[in-house]
Amino acid sequence: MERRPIRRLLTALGLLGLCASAQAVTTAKDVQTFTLDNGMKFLVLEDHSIPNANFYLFWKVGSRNEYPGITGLSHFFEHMMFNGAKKYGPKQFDRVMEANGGANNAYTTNDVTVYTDWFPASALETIFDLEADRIADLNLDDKMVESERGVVASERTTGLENSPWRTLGEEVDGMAFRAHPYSWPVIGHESDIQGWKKSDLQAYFDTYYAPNNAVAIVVGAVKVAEVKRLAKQYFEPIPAAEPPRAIHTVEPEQKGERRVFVEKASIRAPHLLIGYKTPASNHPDYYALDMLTTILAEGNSSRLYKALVDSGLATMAGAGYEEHFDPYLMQFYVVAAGEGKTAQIESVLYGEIDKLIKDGVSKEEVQKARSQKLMRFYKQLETINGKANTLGTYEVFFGDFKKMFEAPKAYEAVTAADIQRVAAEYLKKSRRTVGILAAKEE
Amino acid sequence: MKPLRLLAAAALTAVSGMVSAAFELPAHERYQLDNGLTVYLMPQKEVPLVHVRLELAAGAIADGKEHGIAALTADSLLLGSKQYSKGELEAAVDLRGATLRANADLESAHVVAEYLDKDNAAIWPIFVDAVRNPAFPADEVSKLRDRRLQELTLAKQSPRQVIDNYFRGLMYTGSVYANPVTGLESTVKAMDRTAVERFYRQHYQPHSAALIVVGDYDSKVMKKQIQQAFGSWRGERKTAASESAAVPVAVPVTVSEARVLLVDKPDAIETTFYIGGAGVARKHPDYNALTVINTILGGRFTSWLNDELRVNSGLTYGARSQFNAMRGGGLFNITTFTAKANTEKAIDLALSTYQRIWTQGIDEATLSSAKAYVKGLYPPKFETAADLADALAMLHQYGMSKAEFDQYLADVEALTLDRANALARQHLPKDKLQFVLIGNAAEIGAVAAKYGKVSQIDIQQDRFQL
Repeated sequence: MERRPIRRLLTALGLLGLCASAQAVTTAKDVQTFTLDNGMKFLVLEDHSIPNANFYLFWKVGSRNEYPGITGLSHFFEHMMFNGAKKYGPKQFDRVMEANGGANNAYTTNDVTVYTDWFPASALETIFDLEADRIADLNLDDKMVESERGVVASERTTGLENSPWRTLGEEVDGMAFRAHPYSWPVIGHESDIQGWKKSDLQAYFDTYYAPNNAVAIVVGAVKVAEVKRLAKQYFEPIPAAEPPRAIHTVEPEQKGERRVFVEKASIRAPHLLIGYKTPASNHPDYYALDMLTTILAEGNSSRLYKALVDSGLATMAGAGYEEHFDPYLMQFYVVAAGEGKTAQIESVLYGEIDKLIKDGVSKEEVQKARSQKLMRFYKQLETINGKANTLGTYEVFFGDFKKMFEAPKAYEAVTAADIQRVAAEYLKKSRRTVGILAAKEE
Repeated sequence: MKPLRLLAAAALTAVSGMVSAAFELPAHERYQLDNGLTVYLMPQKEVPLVHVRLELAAGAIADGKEHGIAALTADSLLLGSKQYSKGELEAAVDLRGATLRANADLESAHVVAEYLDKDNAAIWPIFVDAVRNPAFPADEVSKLRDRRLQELTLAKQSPRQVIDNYFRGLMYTGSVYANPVTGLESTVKAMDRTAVERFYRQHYQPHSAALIVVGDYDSKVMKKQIQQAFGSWRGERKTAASESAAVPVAVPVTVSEARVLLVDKPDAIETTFYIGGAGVARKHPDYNALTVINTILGGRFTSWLNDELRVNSGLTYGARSQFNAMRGGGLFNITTFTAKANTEKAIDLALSTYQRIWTQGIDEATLSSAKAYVKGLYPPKFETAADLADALAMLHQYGMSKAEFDQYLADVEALTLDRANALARQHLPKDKLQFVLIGNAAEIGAVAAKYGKVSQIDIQQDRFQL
């Protein structure tokens, strides 16, 4: 969920293959870090390619920290962070930022809430002032809370109106998870969006928006010493808080295939979303699973493209395995080429998976997956925003930004046998949830 | 994609700083081969990537009656060539993590290759053969066509994907600028390799094309490679069809009254709408200044429209406005979406906010903020090799020099308050506005009639204009 209707791909941060040899490209040593007395950590990367900079703030809070009754609050909170604090009242955060040549956005996932500011480097201090004000002294204005409820209701509706995947994804998550908070959509249930109270928001702010629960990343035409000086001046006075309680709920083991059907009259061809329970990002099998996803579905020479799209059964086939703190899903997305084909599509998809489990993958496929990740890595390094987002994601999900630079070795270490093993272990019928969206149930 | 409203001048002066971001398009070399192919070279070393883009005057305005043929032809370039089968091409590209894609928009078609510099020897010949010697295998073209047919119907699941087609249909009735880029089911259904090859022969011509290379390479080597690959490219002789497609002028229909095209989507849970009229062509001397005016009206989060419709009233997730400026002409529109029940409220608020251009005008603080905003966010638009190739493609398409391109920031800086208000009132359509509403017609039909003469069309119908 994003604050603004910008179509932005959350870069699945897989990356890398064999970039160790590349020179002139950013390395771990170029990234400077420091931690303020209140526990707020900063990563700074000087990059003078353009006279601009950015400020990314990763908060370790997302819909996974909610409970029934306040679902969607993390995302709603993301919106409220723009609606006024002590020094800069309602609307002033955006007005001051834009008048200084800057823009911003934010996104919320199941696991994190990320705020992003982009600006001419000369506006650095203004950005620190704005960010520190809302973190230290957010003011939850009653009128703004009510109008923002309408905004989020519209965000939810427009997603359901325009995106079949949003509609279907909510149902698949709800079916796959019955105990863990990944069960509900990031945007929340409609009745919760209408029902939560200002006191719920205040409690959320007090619990999660303490500097020790955040990582800040600054990339661009800045000086590390200056960033440090500003960080101490603006952020260090903000007190730390008791760390939030850990999420202890573990989704009970799934014992058999689950299925869900969703009907929507205007759907012109069935959509299938099939998710298999897979481990969290910090699991040793992460890299092998990421390579497996690529081999199955990235590019026109991938197995699923050939078997499903090239064959005429589907108009698109894709797969995703994204970063999560807790075990989530490897997901397969397929749009059927017309009615009456879903059973065959499922059977072909499972057949491809079984074939991979039985016969393994070729050396060439392993090489191909590494190249595709290397290319993605370089593409992320082309922009200061790509650098900031990737550094932050590694720091938060993998525990250390340096792992971004060590990932090449991690991908190199993945063997064809590893990929075959993780396919066999995780892509089992008993771990899967099948969702189908169509105008009519077949 | 963001909206806002009036700034409190006092609050602003206190905090706004000088915006110092500056940018000019990096130096590049431009030359022509004997066959007329224009080449743009811009070496860039930050990452070891090469981005190659061939820009062709082969967009949907050249479709004729075969709506969608430009798009299908571009797509079909990658189905195999003289030296590489489709399978070989795809395997070679994927093995190196490279990208090879081709597509058409309204005014042009482009073929793009992006790869690691070390893979030049493997990918360049594939790119060249796809452009010069496409095989258009009949079975693969048919498969692709069938997939595109499916996708045409899928697009209608999402109002946002199709609303622009309806608006162009309304504004450019009878003109090639109303052509739906991906075509219609009835026209695409009839296409085969013969039609694709015919379009290719007519419109894939070196004299009107540009080859753009941005990234990590040696210019001397690249020039030689380009000469070898494209020096002998002659193309067919110019035909009447390709000549007429080269510079059509996009003249919107003369509107004598406000009109509403009501597109019925019976299961809609919200209403999506466009409100607009004629705009300006991309090369219009006022275009640069108009981007600042649009920023104020509906081009950023604090723009008038977003501030009213989203921030103040919670009616929508986002409201904005845009100039769609093309080579042959242009359009302007406001757009947003809202829950069915709020349709009238949202349209009324959009209209009254828009009328402030005439009733109230832009004030100095807002103009100054918008200029700072546009300037401050300008350099990041040109960070990647792909961004720079896009900019060079624009130079080619609109016949702009680097100096004209780099005039942008100076034009923004020079815009005075009087001129901003005068240009806004001169170029924005004030009345006889044209509406497209996509939603549940049974529930919003009466509301629609308030704004103009209503015509209704079902979203499932295979057309975008009456």
